Amino acid sequence: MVRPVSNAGPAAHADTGAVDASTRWPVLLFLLSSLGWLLVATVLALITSLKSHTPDFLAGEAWLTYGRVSAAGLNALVYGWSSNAALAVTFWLMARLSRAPLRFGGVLVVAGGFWNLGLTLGVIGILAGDSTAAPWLEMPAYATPLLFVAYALVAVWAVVTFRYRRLAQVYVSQWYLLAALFCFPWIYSIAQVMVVFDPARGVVQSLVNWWYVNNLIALWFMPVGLAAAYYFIPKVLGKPIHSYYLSALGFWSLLIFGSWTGPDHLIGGPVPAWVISAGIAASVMMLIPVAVTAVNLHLTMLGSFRALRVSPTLRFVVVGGVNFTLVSLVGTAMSVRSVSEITHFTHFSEAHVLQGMYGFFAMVMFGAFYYLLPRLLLKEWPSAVLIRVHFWAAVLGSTLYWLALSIGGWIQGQEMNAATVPFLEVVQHTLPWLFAGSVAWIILAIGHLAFVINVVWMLLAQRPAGATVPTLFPNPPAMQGVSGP
Amino acid sequence: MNRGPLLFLGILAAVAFSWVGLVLTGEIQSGGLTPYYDQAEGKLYPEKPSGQAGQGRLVYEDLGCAACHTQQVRRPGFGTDEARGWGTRQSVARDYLYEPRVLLGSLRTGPDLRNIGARQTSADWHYLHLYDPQLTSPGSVMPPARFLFAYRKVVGQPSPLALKLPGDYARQHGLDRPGYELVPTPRAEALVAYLLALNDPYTFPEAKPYEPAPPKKGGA
Amino acid sequence: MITMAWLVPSVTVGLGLALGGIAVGAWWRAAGHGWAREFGHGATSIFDEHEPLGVMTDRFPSQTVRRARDPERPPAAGRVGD
Repeated sequence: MVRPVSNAGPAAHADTGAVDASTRWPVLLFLLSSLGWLLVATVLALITSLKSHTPDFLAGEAWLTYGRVSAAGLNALVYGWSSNAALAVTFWLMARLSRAPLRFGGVLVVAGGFWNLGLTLGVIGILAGDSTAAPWLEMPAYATPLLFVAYALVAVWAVVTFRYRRLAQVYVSQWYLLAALFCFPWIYSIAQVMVVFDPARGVVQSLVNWWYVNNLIALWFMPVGLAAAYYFIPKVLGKPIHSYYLSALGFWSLLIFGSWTGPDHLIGGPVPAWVISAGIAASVMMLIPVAVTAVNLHLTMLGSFRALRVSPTLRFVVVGGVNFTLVSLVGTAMSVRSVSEITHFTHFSEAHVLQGMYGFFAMVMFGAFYYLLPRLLLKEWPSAVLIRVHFWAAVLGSTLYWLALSIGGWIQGQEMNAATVPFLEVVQHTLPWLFAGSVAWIILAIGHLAFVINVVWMLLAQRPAGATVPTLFPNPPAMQGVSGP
Repeated sequence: MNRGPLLFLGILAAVAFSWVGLVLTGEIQSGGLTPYYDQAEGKLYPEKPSGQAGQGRLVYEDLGCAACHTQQVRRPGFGTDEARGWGTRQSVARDYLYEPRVLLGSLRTGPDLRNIGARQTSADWHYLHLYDPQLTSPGSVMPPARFLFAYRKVVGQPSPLALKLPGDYARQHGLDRPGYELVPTPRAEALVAYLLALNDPYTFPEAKPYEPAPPKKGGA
Repeated sequence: MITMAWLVPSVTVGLGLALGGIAVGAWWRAAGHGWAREFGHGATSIFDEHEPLGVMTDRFPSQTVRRARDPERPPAAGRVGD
């Protein structure tokens, strides 16, 4: 039995409640923004999905044409929902892990304003026809500088906060968060310069573009998601991470190998063959960080599966963690040339993207929100039913989407590789799977509505007088050690 | 792992390593490519696109056509790009030299368009297809781009670009008013000019044309 | 202008292998100096007096505590150690 380690005297650590309280305004701003964008992204994604099998749906106007609405939905999901959520969770976790109150929160609030303003201009700009046509970088050049300003403010804040931390030990989640905060501006600036503002000539542009998309996932979303998983699973269980010493290996191997898998998106394309081979090799090496994460996260859960019935956060984060392992394994498989020959250019890769961005990342973010919001607002979630609706809708919807588009995409790939099958016939065979994908989005939408209703209800509810901690976790010693069935 | 500066250095090294290895080396190898001068024809290839085709490319970009169409022909033996008539040879880096935005694409919800100019040489076909894909490709999931066209009163002579709709289609959709015609807007004209120009006929030294495999002897 | 296609990849791959070798070597040396043991303490740095080891910190709202436990008995869920 390991005793809790205290690395400094009690006077040096700020009280957890005080730390949480200090994060309230910046975290709430980014969290609520992320939820707004989640609803926008859900609507745009549902429209996109419906158009994919019913092309006449809302087909009258240019601003809703498939190419524009799918790009707008993607950007709303990636930069609106996912990145706002990432920042909200990052700020809260950084403060908690540093055991120091969040300082200069006003800077973050201003950053949030710029970020969301830039996003709004960008998404509307895509629908208006100003898309840059670069994958995942479609937001027009008049919107992205606002994102830069926002991010510069966040970066400065991050350096200062880390400098003022009060705990000598740097927990694994902090390495991941620092990596994410540091890497995002680098990869985003390089991408904006070499693809949007001063485009590189020829296929180098595509290399940079997919290097960026890959690193956005490997060096921004994966680290933030893993940081949260590495924190919430042990924190909720009251149990330390299994084989913690492996986490350093997992961290560095993710950074080094994960950043090289960009060329997987260009297998078979007009780029130098050795670049593609390097990407494939890196995808195979990715099995190392995936194995480490599986050991650290999944083995920690061994013996504690009953806790899944009890904790909403644990449910979401554990499902997210399992999807991390699955999506990474699928990604490695997709890099093998014989598999890529079938899956490349098909709906299979769309399914893969959503499994990563939603099955892994969004689920972990939802889990994080369920944990931190009561501690920020000092209120309980008003409705357990809505939490359950959200959870099951998210799991069912994302699993259905992944299965439907993976199977449909696999069939599509096989048929495309049989030159005797006319192209229009290949298209016809994908339709039922795409329809199932739309059903999946409707299910996801129900879950998102349930979540947003619960959040708004909680915001509007009265805080119990004199509350200093969420009512479920009071401090009095008599309640310690009580953790339910 | 507890020291900030070391952590930052390590993270920077990881990002820099991948950028140098993938982007910078890609730039060194492919960024310096020049057009190929054909002695016999006295021309540089790839040929620069016309102004109208350049405008059309912008329409292709803003409508997000790259969301469903690729523009990269894969080598023989890897997929069936050539067997489907999508190109006589694989696409190489030199083909994309003059493209301000390289539109390789990543999904084939629709067919590859790299050589669509060689496959569909008729502007009329393209206008019909853009107006309502079901006219030329029944069962297609491509969205109709009716907003690229205008139904207007004939002024003087009927426009040579007026769409030649099948009679019953025109009747069903109210497009058979006498004295009226359905014409493409300038954006549609530019887009079709771009599509007609999409063609890589020249074979660079580094690209070999597809040779069909010799017929197998005996049973297979 | 590099015209030899093999030069650039081999330099990059060579550099990568060299760096990797240095990393593995450093790791080996650190492991020999008991670094892994010290490192393990980081796993418990997220727990403190208010949220100690062995106590769960999340629950569905409105799930009441079914039975108050004897504070001396360890809790069933979230067993620590192994």
